[in-house]
Amino acid sequence: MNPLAPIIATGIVGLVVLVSFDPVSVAVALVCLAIALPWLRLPARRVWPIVGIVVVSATLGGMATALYGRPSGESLLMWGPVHVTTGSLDLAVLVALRIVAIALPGALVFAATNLTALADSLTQIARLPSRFVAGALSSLRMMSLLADDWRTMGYARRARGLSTRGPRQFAGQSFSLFVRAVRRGSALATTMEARGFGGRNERSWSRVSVWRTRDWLIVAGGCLIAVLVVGISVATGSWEVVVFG
Amino acid sequence: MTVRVGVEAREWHWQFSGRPQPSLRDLSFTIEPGERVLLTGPSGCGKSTLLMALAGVLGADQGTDAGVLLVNDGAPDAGRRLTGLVMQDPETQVVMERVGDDVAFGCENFAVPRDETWRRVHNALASVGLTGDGLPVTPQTPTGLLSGGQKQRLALAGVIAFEPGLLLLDEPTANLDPQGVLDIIAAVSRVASETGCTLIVVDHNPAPWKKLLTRVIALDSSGGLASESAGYPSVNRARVPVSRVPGEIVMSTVNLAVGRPGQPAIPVPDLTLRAGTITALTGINGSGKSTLSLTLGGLLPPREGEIIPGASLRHGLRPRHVPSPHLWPARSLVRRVGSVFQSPENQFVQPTAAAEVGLALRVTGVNRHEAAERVQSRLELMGLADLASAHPFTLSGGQKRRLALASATVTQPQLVVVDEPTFGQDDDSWSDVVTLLDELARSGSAVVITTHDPDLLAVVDHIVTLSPLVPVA
Repeated sequence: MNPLAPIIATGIVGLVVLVSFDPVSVAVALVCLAIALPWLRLPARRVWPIVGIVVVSATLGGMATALYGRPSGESLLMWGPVHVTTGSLDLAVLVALRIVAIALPGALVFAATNLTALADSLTQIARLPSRFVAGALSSLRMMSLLADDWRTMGYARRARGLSTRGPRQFAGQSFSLFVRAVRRGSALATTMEARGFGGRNERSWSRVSVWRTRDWLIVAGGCLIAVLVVGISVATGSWEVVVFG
Repeated sequence: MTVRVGVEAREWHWQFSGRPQPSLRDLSFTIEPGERVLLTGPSGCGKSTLLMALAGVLGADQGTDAGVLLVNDGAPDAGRRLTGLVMQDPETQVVMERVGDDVAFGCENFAVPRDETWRRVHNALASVGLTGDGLPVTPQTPTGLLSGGQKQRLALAGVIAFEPGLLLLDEPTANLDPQGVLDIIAAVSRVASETGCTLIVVDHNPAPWKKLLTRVIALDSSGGLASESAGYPSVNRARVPVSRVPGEIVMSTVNLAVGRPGQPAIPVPDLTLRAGTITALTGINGSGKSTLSLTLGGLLPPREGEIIPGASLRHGLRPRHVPSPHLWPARSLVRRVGSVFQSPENQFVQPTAAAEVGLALRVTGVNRHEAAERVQSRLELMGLADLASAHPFTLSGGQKRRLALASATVTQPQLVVVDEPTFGQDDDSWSDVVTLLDELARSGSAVVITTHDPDLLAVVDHIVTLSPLVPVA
């Protein structure tokens, strides 16, 4: 499977869910996501944390809508600027589900993607400039090193007799992490330059990225889900488009 | 086809922004294509800076230059694609997620065809002794699992694979086991004879390079050229007598296995660390020396087995903290144990060298007047007195290590754990470091070091060899 295929497929579905604004289209998208999930071959211990983060942020988004959303229907609670109504509660549930339906597929696909293979695909299949892609790839790899850096800094503070707990320590260590990330970034840039990276010269690829029939099938699957989302929603008469502004 | 590259400097100066003096001054020399040069000079004299300038990676934002520095008659940054640089710190030189892809990265930048790239990747990895029969690393191994010494081999492989016309190596053997040193020198010799590349090497252990490097350029401590007559340097290190008296047991281990989070556990031999002695941990790259150091230093929990603190180390600890040093509160730890990491930069938490040394004294409540005196004497002992107000990150590799050593030992802890203490040291600073370790032992500390340095191994009391071969992937 070319890593670009599931990204394009989720992009198409995500766009449709973003445009739509009704419970049926969101429900169809979520059901399709649940059906497609096993094909990503993500182990459960990696799926649950991602689901957790997305659900928590969706809940927060929904709560804000419930408390401050446009009032309509029966009034349930009024307290200062807070006005909860049956209408704003309905809206809150819809907003929360939309966040899940748009964010979760992207997050899961990204977690299942090998970054190196994605970079190969972006340069060779999507023909993006290799300088840009290789730069982005190395900076993303650096992100995965931040956890190690955080641990190493914890060792350093402890070895030097500084506490590693408490809000002030956390703030101090966060700032050091930032300094470290900048230093790491400039050292990495130097390393890459020292290995001939940069300039306008031609580059070769040591790994081949291929686009097979099944990659077309994955993209087609994404289109099919998008059609289902709109089709079922229109057929049940609940189709609505998001109103901006 | 490798391009032949010459180098010329005419009255060249370099001054880092924020430093009162130029780091390199009045440099004039010519290096013909194909020459093989040893670049020497005292710790902190600007050797690394010169290599970075030649590689064209010293930016105008870092400082200012004057005079002329040419690589094949052009500016070094225009000649960047002729040049391969291996820098001092192997930790910052990993680009890709897997070992093979990392080595291929340079070849890709030079548009080497795919089949040729992979042929070179396999050759380079084998010739630096990173992959091969019986070795745990393969081209698919994640780079994050490599030890410091393995990363150093990887960095060299990544540069020799694209066959640069000018090969610049900064301390390429510093973290390596003795076999690794021979592997690396053989690999560099082969590349030099096959491609005819120009070679400039900085190494504080020049003896094994003697056959390969035919010319010496020496810098003096102020960053100028030293007199030409010097000849090939021979190591001349002051010896300390090994006549220390072992005292009580400070720490011992039983059936200990160590490991970093998410990595396999490595069993280690039982240790008995006595006051007044220096114990050296040695063993090939990847055998777990650094991981064991962090564990003894109370920074990593043991994976199996026990670490038993001796009576004096236990004194004043709460019973529930006693069982293993990783349970001790930070303040109790810093009174008892001083740790120096493999990459000293990782342990700096203060903005100046003096504050760095003074931190442990402040944390443990030593009064300000006495603290200032002790900081000053430690900095002098380590030859860093002039750099007291410098930011630790701006020091040279050798200076950083001495600063880390000074700050970890200023409280006279009962246990001192130092990873690679003599990395990047010239003969004088080598003696300073060894003298400090000796003094710490004589004043009653148990000292544990990891090292491959044969001169250092000759002055310790015990040598413990870690045996390796836990598969990495």
